[in-house]
Amino acid sequence: MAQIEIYTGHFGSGKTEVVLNRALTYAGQGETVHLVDLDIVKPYFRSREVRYFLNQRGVYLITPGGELENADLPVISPKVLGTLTSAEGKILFDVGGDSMGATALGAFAQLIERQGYEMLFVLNPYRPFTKDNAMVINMLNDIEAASRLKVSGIISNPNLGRGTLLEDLRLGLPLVQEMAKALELPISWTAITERYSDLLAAEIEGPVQAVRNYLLPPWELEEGQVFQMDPK
Amino acid sequence: MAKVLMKGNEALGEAAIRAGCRYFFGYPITPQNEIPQYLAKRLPEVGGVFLQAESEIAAINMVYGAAGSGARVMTSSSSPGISLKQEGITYIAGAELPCVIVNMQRGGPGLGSIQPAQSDYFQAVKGGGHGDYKLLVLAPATIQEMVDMMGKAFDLADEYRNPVMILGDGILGQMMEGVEFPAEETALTLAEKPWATTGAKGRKPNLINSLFLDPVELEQHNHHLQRKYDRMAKEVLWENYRTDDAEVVLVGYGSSARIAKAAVDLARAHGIKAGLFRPITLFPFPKAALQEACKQANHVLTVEMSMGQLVEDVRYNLEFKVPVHFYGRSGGMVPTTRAVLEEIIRWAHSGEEDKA
Repeated sequence: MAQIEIYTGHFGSGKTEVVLNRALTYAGQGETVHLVDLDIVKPYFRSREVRYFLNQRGVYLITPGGELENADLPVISPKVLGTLTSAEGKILFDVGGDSMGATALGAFAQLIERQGYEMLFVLNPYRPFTKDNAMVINMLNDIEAASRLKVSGIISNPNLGRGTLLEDLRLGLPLVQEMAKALELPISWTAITERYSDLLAAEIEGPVQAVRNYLLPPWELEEGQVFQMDPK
Repeated sequence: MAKVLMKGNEALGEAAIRAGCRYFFGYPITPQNEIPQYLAKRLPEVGGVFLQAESEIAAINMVYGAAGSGARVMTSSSSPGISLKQEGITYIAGAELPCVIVNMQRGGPGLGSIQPAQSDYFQAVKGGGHGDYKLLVLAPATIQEMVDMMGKAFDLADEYRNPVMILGDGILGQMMEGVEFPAEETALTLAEKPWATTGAKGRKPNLINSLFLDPVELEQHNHHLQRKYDRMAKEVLWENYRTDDAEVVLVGYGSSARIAKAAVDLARAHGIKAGLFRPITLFPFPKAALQEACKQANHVLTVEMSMGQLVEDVRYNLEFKVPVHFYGRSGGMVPTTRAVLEEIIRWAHSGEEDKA
Protein backbone atom coordinates (compact mmCIF):
# COMPACT_ATOMS: atom_id res chain seq x y z
CA MET A 1 0.00 0.00 0.00
CA ALA A 2 1.09 3.53 -0.76
CA GLN A 3 1.66 6.09 1.99
CA ILE A 4 -1.53 7.87 0.92
CA GLU A 5 -4.76 5.88 0.92
CA ILE A 6 -7.90 7.62 -0.27
CA TYR A 7 -11.36 6.29 0.50
CA THR A 8 -14.06 7.39 -1.89
CA GLY A 9 -17.43 6.07 -2.90
CA HIS A 10 -21.14 6.67 -2.89
CA PHE A 11 -22.75 8.69 -0.14
CA GLY A 12 -23.53 6.18 2.64
CA SER A 13 -21.37 3.37 1.23
CA GLY A 14 -19.58 3.05 4.58
CA LYS A 15 -16.39 5.02 3.90
CA THR A 16 -16.07 6.57 7.33
CA GLU A 17 -16.53 3.34 9.32
CA VAL A 18 -14.20 1.54 6.92
CA VAL A 19 -11.48 4.17 7.16
CA LEU A 20 -11.78 4.41 10.97
CA ASN A 21 -11.24 0.67 11.25
CA ARG A 22 -8.37 0.81 8.80
CA ALA A 23 -6.72 3.65 10.70
CA LEU A 24 -7.04 1.82 14.01
CA THR A 25 -5.64 -1.36 12.47
CA TYR A 26 -2.59 0.51 11.18
CA ALA A 27 -2.14 2.29 14.51
CA GLY A 28 -2.39 -1.07 16.27
CA GLN A 29 0.49 -2.29 14.11
CA GLY A 30 2.59 0.60 15.42
CA GLU A 31 2.29 2.87 12.40
CA THR A 32 1.87 6.62 12.68
CA VAL A 33 -1.52 7.38 11.15
CA HIS A 34 -2.93 10.69 9.97
CA LEU A 35 -6.62 10.58 9.17
CA VAL A 36 -7.91 13.47 7.08
CA ASP A 37 -11.62 14.11 7.59
CA LEU A 38 -12.37 15.61 4.18
CA ASP A 39 -16.09 14.91 4.43
CA ILE A 40 -17.87 18.11 3.44
CA VAL A 41 -21.07 16.26 2.55
CA LYS A 42 -22.64 14.65 5.57
CA PRO A 43 -23.44 16.65 8.72
CA TYR A 44 -23.65 13.78 11.25
CA PHE A 45 -21.75 10.58 11.99
CA ARG A 46 -18.42 12.09 10.95
CA SER A 47 -15.01 10.84 12.08
CA ARG A 48 -14.52 14.07 14.06
CA GLU A 49 -17.10 12.73 16.54
CA VAL A 50 -14.58 10.11 17.71
CA ARG A 51 -11.55 12.39 17.77
CA TYR A 52 -10.68 11.78 21.42
CA PHE A 53 -10.96 8.02 21.01
CA LEU A 54 -8.73 8.13 17.90
CA ASN A 55 -6.09 10.33 19.52
CA GLN A 56 -5.89 7.93 22.46
CA ARG A 57 -5.04 5.17 20.02
CA GLY A 58 -2.43 7.11 18.10
CA VAL A 59 -4.52 8.22 15.12
CA TYR A 60 -4.12 11.94 14.38
CA LEU A 61 -7.33 13.34 13.07
CA ILE A 62 -7.17 16.35 10.76
CA THR A 63 -10.39 18.40 10.77
CA PRO A 64 -11.29 22.09 10.51
CA GLY A 65 -11.12 22.37 14.31
CA GLY A 66 -12.83 24.72 16.73
CA GLU A 67 -16.46 25.68 16.38
CA LEU A 68 -16.52 25.07 12.65
CA GLU A 69 -16.21 21.38 13.37
CA ASN A 70 -19.90 21.36 14.37
CA ALA A 71 -21.00 23.20 11.25
CA ASP A 72 -22.15 21.90 7.89
CA LEU A 73 -19.87 24.26 6.00
CA PRO A 74 -17.51 23.06 3.27
CA VAL A 75 -14.43 23.91 5.32
CA ILE A 76 -11.12 22.17 4.80
CA SER A 77 -8.35 22.52 7.34
CA PRO A 78 -5.10 24.20 6.16
CA LYS A 79 -3.41 21.34 8.05
CA VAL A 80 -4.31 19.00 5.16
CA LEU A 81 -1.66 20.64 3.02
CA GLY A 82 0.93 20.42 5.79
CA THR A 83 0.13 16.77 6.35
CA LEU A 84 0.49 16.00 2.66
CA THR A 85 3.86 17.72 2.38
CA SER A 86 5.53 16.70 5.62
CA ALA A 87 3.74 13.98 7.58
CA GLU A 88 5.44 10.67 8.22
CA GLY A 89 3.57 7.40 8.32
CA LYS A 90 0.22 6.63 6.79
CA ILE A 91 -2.12 9.33 5.48
CA LEU A 92 -5.72 8.18 5.09
CA PHE A 93 -8.31 10.37 3.40
CA ASP A 94 -11.97 10.04 4.42
CA VAL A 95 -13.61 11.73 1.42
CA GLY A 96 -17.24 12.85 1.30
CA GLY A 97 -19.72 10.87 -0.75
CA ASP A 98 -20.32 10.99 -4.51
CA SER A 99 -18.64 13.40 -6.91
CA MET A 100 -19.74 16.22 -4.61
CA GLY A 101 -17.44 14.96 -1.87
CA ALA A 102 -14.68 14.07 -4.32
CA THR A 103 -14.56 17.67 -5.57
CA ALA A 104 -12.86 18.67 -2.31
CA LEU A 105 -10.23 16.05 -2.98
CA GLY A 106 -9.56 17.52 -6.41
CA ALA A 107 -7.99 20.56 -4.78
CA PHE A 108 -5.09 18.36 -3.65
CA ALA A 109 -4.94 16.13 -6.73
CA GLN A 110 -1.62 17.41 -8.12
CA LEU A 111 0.22 17.06 -4.84
CA ILE A 112 -1.27 13.65 -4.15
CA GLU A 113 -0.39 12.44 -7.63
CA ARG A 114 3.22 13.51 -7.21
CA GLN A 115 3.59 11.59 -3.97
CA GLY A 116 1.92 8.42 -5.10
CA TYR A 117 -1.40 7.19 -3.75
CA GLU A 118 -3.92 4.46 -3.75
CA MET A 119 -7.53 5.49 -4.23
CA LEU A 120 -10.11 2.96 -3.09
CA PHE A 121 -13.77 2.84 -4.02
CA VAL A 122 -15.99 1.63 -1.17
CA LEU A 123 -18.91 -0.29 -2.60
CA ASN A 124 -22.12 -1.45 -0.97
CA PRO A 125 -24.59 -3.01 -3.44
CA TYR A 126 -27.39 -2.64 -0.87
CA ARG A 127 -27.41 1.12 -1.46
CA PRO A 128 -30.15 1.97 -3.97
CA PHE A 129 -28.01 4.24 -6.17
CA THR A 130 -25.22 1.65 -6.54
CA LYS A 131 -27.34 -1.43 -6.98
CA ASP A 132 -26.38 -2.32 -10.56
CA ASN A 133 -23.34 -2.15 -12.83
CA ALA A 134 -24.47 0.86 -14.84
CA MET A 135 -25.03 2.93 -11.71
CA VAL A 136 -21.70 1.89 -10.21
CA ILE A 137 -19.80 2.71 -13.41
CA ASN A 138 -21.40 6.16 -13.50
CA MET A 139 -20.63 6.78 -9.84
CA LEU A 140 -16.99 5.79 -10.28
CA ASN A 141 -16.56 7.91 -13.41
CA ASP A 142 -18.08 10.94 -11.71
CA ILE A 143 -15.85 10.54 -8.69
CA GLU A 144 -12.72 10.15 -10.79
CA ALA A 145 -13.62 13.19 -12.87
CA ALA A 146 -14.32 15.34 -9.81
CA SER A 147 -11.22 14.27 -7.89
CA ARG A 148 -8.93 14.16 -10.95
CA LEU A 149 -7.47 10.95 -9.49
CA LYS A 150 -7.79 7.29 -10.47
CA VAL A 151 -9.36 4.52 -8.45
CA SER A 152 -7.08 1.49 -8.19
CA GLY A 153 -9.19 -0.91 -6.20
CA ILE A 154 -12.53 -1.68 -4.64
CA ILE A 155 -13.39 -2.23 -1.04
CA SER A 156 -16.21 -4.70 -0.91
CA ASN A 157 -18.58 -3.56 1.82
CA PRO A 158 -21.98 -5.20 1.33
CA ASN A 159 -24.10 -4.54 4.41
CA LEU A 160 -27.49 -3.48 5.73
CA GLY A 161 -26.13 -1.60 8.71
CA ARG A 162 -26.35 -3.01 12.21
CA GLY A 163 -29.10 -5.39 11.14
CA THR A 164 -26.88 -7.20 8.60
CA LEU A 165 -27.43 -10.95 8.59
CA LEU A 166 -24.92 -13.55 7.52
CA GLU A 167 -27.06 -14.33 4.47
CA ASP A 168 -27.02 -10.64 3.46
CA LEU A 169 -23.22 -10.85 3.34
CA ARG A 170 -23.25 -14.15 1.44
CA LEU A 171 -25.62 -12.64 -1.13
CA GLY A 172 -23.84 -9.29 -1.30
CA LEU A 173 -20.23 -10.43 -1.70
CA PRO A 174 -20.73 -12.00 -5.17
CA LEU A 175 -22.67 -8.91 -6.26
CA VAL A 176 -19.61 -6.77 -5.56
CA GLN A 177 -17.43 -9.27 -7.41
CA GLU A 178 -19.61 -8.86 -10.49
CA MET A 179 -19.45 -5.09 -10.19
CA ALA A 180 -15.67 -5.21 -9.81
CA LYS A 181 -15.51 -7.21 -13.04
CA ALA A 182 -17.64 -4.64 -14.82
CA LEU A 183 -15.39 -1.87 -13.50
CA GLU A 184 -12.28 -3.85 -14.44
CA LEU A 185 -10.88 -3.26 -10.96
CA PRO A 186 -9.56 -5.65 -8.33
CA ILE A 187 -11.15 -6.03 -4.90
CA SER A 188 -8.37 -4.71 -2.67
CA TRP A 189 -10.00 -6.00 0.46
CA THR A 190 -13.31 -6.88 1.97
CA ALA A 191 -14.93 -5.19 4.95
CA ILE A 192 -16.99 -7.48 7.17
CA THR A 193 -18.71 -6.64 10.42
CA GLU A 194 -16.68 -8.05 13.31
CA ARG A 195 -19.66 -10.26 14.19
CA TYR A 196 -19.04 -12.37 11.08
CA SER A 197 -15.49 -11.61 9.99
CA ASP A 198 -13.93 -14.74 11.53
CA LEU A 199 -16.70 -16.91 10.20
CA LEU A 200 -16.41 -15.60 6.63
CA ALA A 201 -12.66 -14.99 6.36
CA ALA A 202 -12.06 -18.50 5.03
CA GLU A 203 -14.66 -18.06 2.26
CA ILE A 204 -13.26 -14.76 1.04
CA GLU A 205 -10.41 -14.36 -1.40
CA GLY A 206 -7.96 -11.63 -0.43
CA PRO A 207 -7.57 -9.64 2.77
CA VAL A 208 -10.47 -9.02 5.16
CA GLN A 209 -10.88 -6.05 7.46
CA ALA A 210 -13.10 -6.72 10.47
CA VAL A 211 -15.28 -3.68 11.00
CA ARG A 212 -16.50 -2.39 14.32
CA ASN A 213 -19.06 0.42 14.11
CA TYR A 214 -17.99 3.53 15.97
CA LEU A 215 -20.49 6.09 14.72
CA LEU A 216 -23.75 4.80 16.10
CA PRO A 217 -27.03 6.34 17.19
CA PRO A 218 -27.04 6.87 20.97
CA TRP A 219 -29.19 3.84 21.82
CA GLU A 220 -26.76 1.48 20.13
CA LEU A 221 -23.61 2.73 21.80
CA GLU A 222 -22.06 0.19 24.09
CA GLU A 223 -21.69 1.01 27.73
CA GLY A 224 -18.75 3.32 28.23
CA GLN A 225 -18.28 4.05 24.55
CA VAL A 226 -19.68 7.54 24.83
CA PHE A 227 -17.22 8.42 27.54
CA GLN A 228 -14.35 7.01 25.56
CA MET A 229 -15.32 9.28 22.72
CA ASP A 230 -15.51 12.40 24.79
CA PRO A 231 -14.59 12.50 28.46
CA LYS A 232 -16.54 15.74 28.89
CA MET B 1 -38.55 -5.97 -2.83
CA ALA B 2 -35.45 -6.92 -0.87
CA LYS B 3 -34.01 -4.77 1.84
CA VAL B 4 -31.84 -1.78 1.02
CA LEU B 5 -29.63 0.36 3.25
CA MET B 6 -30.83 3.93 3.42
CA LYS B 7 -30.57 7.13 5.38
CA GLY B 8 -33.81 8.15 7.03
CA ASN B 9 -34.11 11.19 4.80
CA GLU B 10 -33.61 9.20 1.59
CA ALA B 11 -36.06 6.52 2.69
CA LEU B 12 -38.64 9.17 3.44
CA GLY B 13 -38.22 10.59 -0.05
CA GLU B 14 -38.65 7.20 -1.69
CA ALA B 15 -41.65 6.42 0.52
CA ALA B 16 -43.31 9.67 -0.56
CA ILE B 17 -42.94 8.65 -4.21
CA ARG B 18 -44.38 5.21 -3.46
CA ALA B 19 -47.29 6.98 -1.75
CA GLY B 20 -48.07 8.81 -4.97
CA CYS B 21 -46.46 12.14 -4.12
CA ARG B 22 -45.47 13.82 -7.38
CA TYR B 23 -44.78 17.37 -6.23
CA PHE B 24 -42.13 18.62 -3.85
CA PHE B 25 -41.31 22.23 -3.07
CA GLY B 26 -38.57 23.01 -0.59
CA TYR B 27 -35.53 24.93 0.44
CA PRO B 28 -32.33 23.34 1.79
CA ILE B 29 -31.45 23.13 5.47
CA THR B 30 -29.40 20.65 7.47
CA PRO B 31 -30.16 17.97 8.68
CA GLN B 32 -32.87 17.16 6.11
CA ASN B 33 -31.06 17.95 2.85
CA GLU B 34 -31.06 14.36 1.67
CA ILE B 35 -34.86 14.57 1.23
CA PRO B 36 -34.76 17.28 -1.46
CA GLN B 37 -31.54 15.83 -2.85
CA TYR B 38 -33.14 12.43 -3.25
CA LEU B 39 -36.37 13.79 -4.68
CA ALA B 40 -34.51 16.06 -7.09
CA LYS B 41 -33.13 12.89 -8.62
CA ARG B 42 -36.18 10.64 -8.34
CA LEU B 43 -39.21 12.86 -9.00
CA PRO B 44 -38.31 13.65 -12.63
CA GLU B 45 -37.87 9.90 -13.22
CA VAL B 46 -41.53 9.30 -12.30
CA GLY B 47 -42.91 12.34 -14.11
CA GLY B 48 -43.09 14.47 -10.98
CA VAL B 49 -41.99 17.99 -10.21
CA PHE B 50 -39.15 18.87 -7.88
CA LEU B 51 -38.63 22.53 -7.26
CA GLN B 52 -36.13 24.26 -5.03
CA ALA B 53 -37.81 27.53 -4.25
CA GLU B 54 -36.11 30.82 -3.47
CA SER B 55 -37.14 30.56 0.17
CA GLU B 56 -39.16 28.49 2.63
CA ILE B 57 -41.98 31.01 2.36
CA ALA B 58 -42.16 30.57 -1.40
CA ALA B 59 -41.96 26.79 -1.04
CA ILE B 60 -44.86 26.49 1.39
CA ASN B 61 -47.03 28.72 -0.77
CA MET B 62 -46.26 26.50 -3.77
CA VAL B 63 -47.45 23.60 -1.61
CA TYR B 64 -50.62 25.61 -0.93
CA GLY B 65 -51.20 26.07 -4.64
CA ALA B 66 -50.46 22.48 -5.58
CA ALA B 67 -52.64 21.12 -2.77
CA GLY B 68 -55.44 23.45 -3.83
CA SER B 69 -55.40 21.98 -7.30
CA GLY B 70 -55.62 18.47 -5.88
CA ALA B 71 -52.00 17.27 -6.12
CA ARG B 72 -50.27 14.93 -3.66
CA VAL B 73 -47.65 17.34 -2.45
CA MET B 74 -44.97 17.46 0.21
CA THR B 75 -42.41 19.81 1.65
CA SER B 76 -39.67 19.20 4.18
CA SER B 77 -37.45 21.32 6.33
CA SER B 78 -35.82 21.55 9.73
CA SER B 79 -36.74 23.73 12.70
CA PRO B 80 -35.80 27.28 11.57
CA GLY B 81 -37.18 26.55 8.11
CA ILE B 82 -40.43 25.20 9.56
CA SER B 83 -40.79 28.42 11.55
CA LEU B 84 -40.54 30.34 8.29
CA LYS B 85 -43.27 28.16 6.81
CA GLN B 86 -45.78 28.79 9.60
CA GLU B 87 -47.73 31.45 7.75
CA GLY B 88 -48.29 29.15 4.80
CA ILE B 89 -49.15 26.24 7.08
CA THR B 90 -51.92 28.15 8.84
CA TYR B 91 -53.28 29.26 5.43
CA ILE B 92 -53.29 25.62 4.31
CA ALA B 93 -55.04 24.55 7.52
CA GLY B 94 -57.54 27.40 7.18
CA ALA B 95 -58.28 26.56 3.55
CA GLU B 96 -58.50 22.85 4.51
CA LEU B 97 -55.96 21.47 2.09
CA PRO B 98 -54.15 18.13 2.31
CA CYS B 99 -50.36 18.01 2.27
CA VAL B 100 -47.46 16.43 4.13
CA ILE B 101 -44.85 18.53 5.93
CA VAL B 102 -41.70 16.92 7.29
CA ASN B 103 -39.75 18.49 10.15
CA MET B 104 -36.37 16.91 10.92
CA GLN B 105 -35.84 18.91 14.07
CA ARG B 106 -32.54 20.49 15.05
CA GLY B 107 -31.33 22.45 18.07
CA GLY B 108 -32.89 25.83 18.78
CA PRO B 109 -34.02 28.47 19.51
CA GLY B 110 -33.03 30.78 16.69
CA LEU B 111 -30.61 29.52 14.12
CA GLY B 112 -29.47 27.09 16.80
CA SER B 113 -27.28 24.17 15.75
CA ILE B 114 -27.40 21.47 13.09
CA GLN B 115 -27.54 18.72 15.72
CA PRO B 116 -30.73 16.76 16.57
CA ALA B 117 -33.46 18.08 18.86
CA GLN B 118 -37.14 17.71 19.70
CA SER B 119 -37.82 21.23 20.79
CA ASP B 120 -40.49 21.94 18.15
CA TYR B 121 -43.04 19.70 19.89
CA PHE B 122 -45.22 22.59 21.00
CA GLN B 123 -45.03 24.22 17.57
CA ALA B 124 -46.08 20.95 15.92
CA VAL B 125 -48.94 19.87 18.17
CA LYS B 126 -50.43 23.17 19.32
CA GLY B 127 -50.91 24.75 15.92
CA GLY B 128 -47.68 26.61 15.27
CA GLY B 129 -48.92 29.54 13.25
CA HIS B 130 -51.71 31.94 14.14
CA GLY B 131 -55.35 31.01 14.61
CA ASP B 132 -57.09 27.95 16.01
CA TYR B 133 -55.90 25.00 13.98
CA LYS B 134 -54.19 21.66 14.41
CA LEU B 135 -51.92 19.51 12.35
CA LEU B 136 -52.11 15.75 12.45
CA VAL B 137 -48.66 14.93 13.82
CA LEU B 138 -46.96 11.56 13.30
CA ALA B 139 -43.74 10.67 15.11
CA PRO B 140 -41.95 7.63 13.69
CA ALA B 141 -39.02 6.14 15.61
CA THR B 142 -37.37 3.93 12.99
CA ILE B 143 -36.64 4.35 9.32
CA GLN B 144 -38.92 1.44 8.51
CA GLU B 145 -41.73 3.08 10.46
CA MET B 146 -41.10 6.33 8.60
CA VAL B 147 -41.53 4.44 5.31
CA ASP B 148 -44.60 2.53 6.48
CA MET B 149 -46.22 5.71 7.74
CA MET B 150 -45.84 7.76 4.58
CA GLY B 151 -48.86 6.32 2.78
CA LYS B 152 -50.91 6.80 5.91
CA ALA B 153 -49.75 10.40 6.22
CA PHE B 154 -51.01 11.25 2.72
CA ASP B 155 -54.23 9.29 3.22
CA LEU B 156 -54.98 11.07 6.49
CA ALA B 157 -54.26 14.41 4.84
CA ASP B 158 -56.76 13.60 2.10
CA GLU B 159 -59.38 12.17 4.44
CA TYR B 160 -59.39 15.17 6.77
CA ARG B 161 -58.33 17.77 4.21
CA ASN B 162 -55.68 18.80 6.69
CA PRO B 163 -51.90 19.20 6.69
CA VAL B 164 -50.09 16.24 8.26
CA MET B 165 -46.70 16.74 9.88
CA ILE B 166 -44.09 14.03 10.16
CA LEU B 167 -42.08 15.08 13.18
CA GLY B 168 -38.62 13.54 13.07
CA ASP B 169 -35.25 14.72 14.26
CA GLY B 170 -31.73 14.92 12.90
CA ILE B 171 -30.79 11.46 14.09
CA LEU B 172 -33.71 9.80 12.29
CA GLY B 173 -32.92 11.78 9.16
CA GLN B 174 -29.20 11.07 9.12
CA MET B 175 -28.88 7.54 10.49
CA MET B 176 -28.89 4.50 8.24
CA GLU B 177 -30.91 1.30 8.62
CA GLY B 178 -31.92 -1.58 6.42
CA VAL B 179 -35.41 -0.91 5.10
CA GLU B 180 -38.01 -2.63 2.96
CA PHE B 181 -40.45 -0.82 0.67
CA PRO B 182 -43.91 -1.96 -0.28
CA ALA B 183 -44.15 -3.51 -3.75
CA GLU B 184 -44.20 -0.87 -6.46
CA GLU B 185 -47.01 -2.52 -8.40
CA THR B 186 -49.75 -1.77 -5.87
CA ALA B 187 -51.98 0.64 -7.71
CA LEU B 188 -52.87 3.58 -5.53
CA THR B 189 -56.48 4.56 -5.20
CA LEU B 190 -56.37 8.21 -4.32
CA ALA B 191 -59.30 9.99 -2.77
CA GLU B 192 -61.57 12.00 -5.06
CA LYS B 193 -61.07 15.73 -4.62
CA PRO B 194 -64.23 17.38 -5.96
CA TRP B 195 -63.31 20.59 -4.11
CA ALA B 196 -60.02 21.07 -5.98
CA THR B 197 -59.45 23.85 -8.50
CA THR B 198 -59.03 21.67 -11.55
CA GLY B 199 -60.81 23.86 -14.11
CA ALA B 200 -64.48 24.75 -13.77
CA LYS B 201 -65.71 23.61 -17.17
CA GLY B 202 -69.20 22.19 -16.76
CA ARG B 203 -69.40 22.77 -13.01
CA LYS B 204 -69.54 25.55 -10.46
CA PRO B 205 -66.15 27.10 -9.75
CA ASN B 206 -64.30 25.90 -6.65
CA LEU B 207 -62.65 28.43 -4.39
CA ILE B 208 -59.60 27.82 -2.22
CA ASN B 209 -59.45 30.47 0.44
CA SER B 210 -58.78 31.16 4.10
CA LEU B 211 -60.23 34.69 4.14
CA PHE B 212 -63.60 35.11 5.86
CA LEU B 213 -64.44 38.79 6.20
CA ASP B 214 -67.74 38.04 7.90
CA PRO B 215 -66.96 37.18 11.56
CA VAL B 216 -70.11 35.08 11.88
CA GLU B 217 -68.98 32.97 8.98
CA LEU B 218 -65.41 32.71 10.33
CA GLU B 219 -66.66 31.57 13.71
CA GLN B 220 -68.75 28.91 11.99
CA HIS B 221 -65.67 27.88 10.05
CA ASN B 222 -63.75 27.58 13.32
CA HIS B 223 -66.47 25.39 14.80
CA HIS B 224 -66.37 23.25 11.69
CA LEU B 225 -62.57 22.89 12.00
CA GLN B 226 -62.85 22.06 15.68
CA ARG B 227 -65.35 19.28 14.99
CA LYS B 228 -62.90 17.91 12.46
CA TYR B 229 -60.06 17.92 15.00
CA ASP B 230 -62.35 16.13 17.46
CA ARG B 231 -63.08 13.49 14.82
CA MET B 232 -59.33 12.90 14.43
CA ALA B 233 -59.23 11.45 17.97
CA LYS B 234 -59.90 7.99 16.52
CA GLU B 235 -56.60 8.06 14.62
CA VAL B 236 -54.45 7.66 17.74
CA LEU B 237 -51.41 5.36 17.46
CA TRP B 238 -48.99 4.28 20.17
CA GLU B 239 -46.61 1.53 21.24
CA ASN B 240 -46.35 -0.10 24.65
CA TYR B 241 -43.06 -1.69 25.59
CA ARG B 242 -42.91 -3.73 28.80
CA THR B 243 -45.50 -1.50 30.44
CA ASP B 244 -47.76 -4.32 31.74
CA ASP B 245 -46.23 -4.42 35.22
CA ALA B 246 -44.10 -1.27 34.98
CA GLU B 247 -43.69 0.77 38.14
CA VAL B 248 -41.69 3.41 36.29
CA VAL B 249 -43.14 4.24 32.86
CA LEU B 250 -41.01 6.24 30.46
CA VAL B 251 -42.69 8.33 27.78
CA GLY B 252 -40.87 9.50 24.69
CA TYR B 253 -41.26 9.73 20.93
CA GLY B 254 -38.89 9.40 17.98
CA SER B 255 -35.18 9.01 18.74
CA SER B 256 -35.71 9.66 22.44
CA ALA B 257 -38.05 6.69 22.59
CA ARG B 258 -35.30 4.46 21.24
CA ILE B 259 -32.89 5.71 23.90
CA ALA B 260 -35.62 5.20 26.52
CA LYS B 261 -36.27 1.67 25.25
CA ALA B 262 -32.58 0.77 25.63
CA ALA B 263 -32.68 2.26 29.15
CA VAL B 264 -35.80 0.20 30.00
CA ASP B 265 -33.94 -2.99 29.06
CA LEU B 266 -30.99 -1.98 31.25
CA ALA B 267 -33.33 -1.12 34.13
CA ARG B 268 -35.06 -4.50 33.81
CA ALA B 269 -31.62 -6.14 33.99
CA HIS B 270 -31.18 -4.22 37.27
CA GLY B 271 -34.44 -5.70 38.54
CA ILE B 272 -36.45 -2.51 38.12
CA LYS B 273 -39.89 -2.83 36.59
CA ALA B 274 -39.61 -0.18 33.90
CA GLY B 275 -41.55 0.24 30.66
CA LEU B 276 -41.95 2.64 27.77
CA PHE B 277 -45.04 4.28 26.35
CA ARG B 278 -44.37 5.72 22.92
CA PRO B 279 -46.97 8.00 21.36
CA ILE B 280 -46.83 7.60 17.57
CA THR B 281 -49.48 10.24 16.92
CA LEU B 282 -48.63 13.37 18.89
CA PHE B 283 -51.83 15.03 17.74
CA PRO B 284 -54.24 13.42 18.39
CA PHE B 285 -52.58 12.44 21.64
CA PRO B 286 -53.26 8.82 22.72
CA LYS B 287 -54.70 9.82 26.08
CA ALA B 288 -56.64 6.67 27.00
CA ALA B 289 -53.73 4.43 26.03
CA LEU B 290 -51.31 6.50 28.11
CA GLN B 291 -53.60 6.29 31.13
CA GLU B 292 -53.92 2.54 30.67
CA ALA B 293 -50.13 2.08 30.37
CA CYS B 294 -49.53 4.13 33.52
CA LYS B 295 -52.30 2.78 35.74
CA GLN B 296 -49.93 0.75 37.90
CA ALA B 297 -47.03 3.22 37.67
CA ASN B 298 -45.60 4.98 40.70
CA HIS B 299 -43.61 7.35 38.53
CA VAL B 300 -43.71 8.52 34.94
CA LEU B 301 -40.61 9.96 33.28
CA THR B 302 -40.53 11.73 29.95
CA VAL B 303 -37.33 11.55 27.93
CA GLU B 304 -36.94 14.36 25.43
CA MET B 305 -34.44 16.32 23.43
CA SER B 306 -35.91 19.58 24.72
CA MET B 307 -36.17 21.59 27.91
CA GLY B 308 -39.51 19.96 28.70
CA GLN B 309 -42.40 20.06 26.22
CA LEU B 310 -43.93 16.60 25.87
CA VAL B 311 -43.90 16.44 29.69
CA GLU B 312 -46.67 19.05 29.82
CA ASP B 313 -49.00 16.99 27.63
CA VAL B 314 -48.18 13.83 29.59
CA ARG B 315 -49.08 15.52 32.88
CA TYR B 316 -52.25 16.95 31.36
CA ASN B 317 -53.35 13.69 29.77
CA LEU B 318 -52.65 11.71 32.95
CA GLU B 319 -54.80 14.30 34.71
CA PHE B 320 -52.10 14.82 37.33
CA LYS B 321 -52.86 11.46 38.95
CA VAL B 322 -49.29 10.13 38.75
CA PRO B 323 -46.10 12.11 39.42
CA VAL B 324 -44.59 12.94 36.02
CA HIS B 325 -40.88 13.77 35.85
CA PHE B 326 -38.77 15.08 33.03
CA TYR B 327 -35.32 14.27 31.73
CA GLY B 328 -34.02 16.03 28.67
CA ARG B 329 -31.02 17.37 26.83
CA SER B 330 -31.21 20.27 24.44
CA GLY B 331 -29.44 22.38 21.89
CA GLY B 332 -28.37 19.34 19.89
CA MET B 333 -27.11 17.31 22.85
CA VAL B 334 -28.65 13.85 23.09
CA PRO B 335 -29.58 11.88 26.23
CA THR B 336 -27.35 8.87 26.84
CA THR B 337 -28.88 5.53 27.74
CA ARG B 338 -26.81 5.58 30.93
CA ALA B 339 -28.16 8.95 32.04
CA VAL B 340 -31.73 7.81 31.45
CA LEU B 341 -31.04 4.63 33.43
CA GLU B 342 -29.77 6.74 36.34
CA GLU B 343 -33.03 8.70 36.27
CA ILE B 344 -35.06 5.48 36.29
CA ILE B 345 -33.06 4.16 39.26
CA ARG B 346 -33.53 7.44 41.08
CA TRP B 347 -37.32 7.41 40.74
CA ALA B 348 -37.65 3.67 41.31
CA HIS B 349 -35.94 4.04 44.69
CA SER B 350 -37.41 7.40 45.66
CA GLY B 351 -39.46 7.29 48.84
CA GLU B 352 -37.65 4.21 50.15
CA GLU B 353 -35.77 6.32 52.71
CA ASP B 354 -39.10 7.54 54.08
CA LYS B 355 -40.38 4.00 54.53
CA ALA B 356 -37.20 2.81 56.28
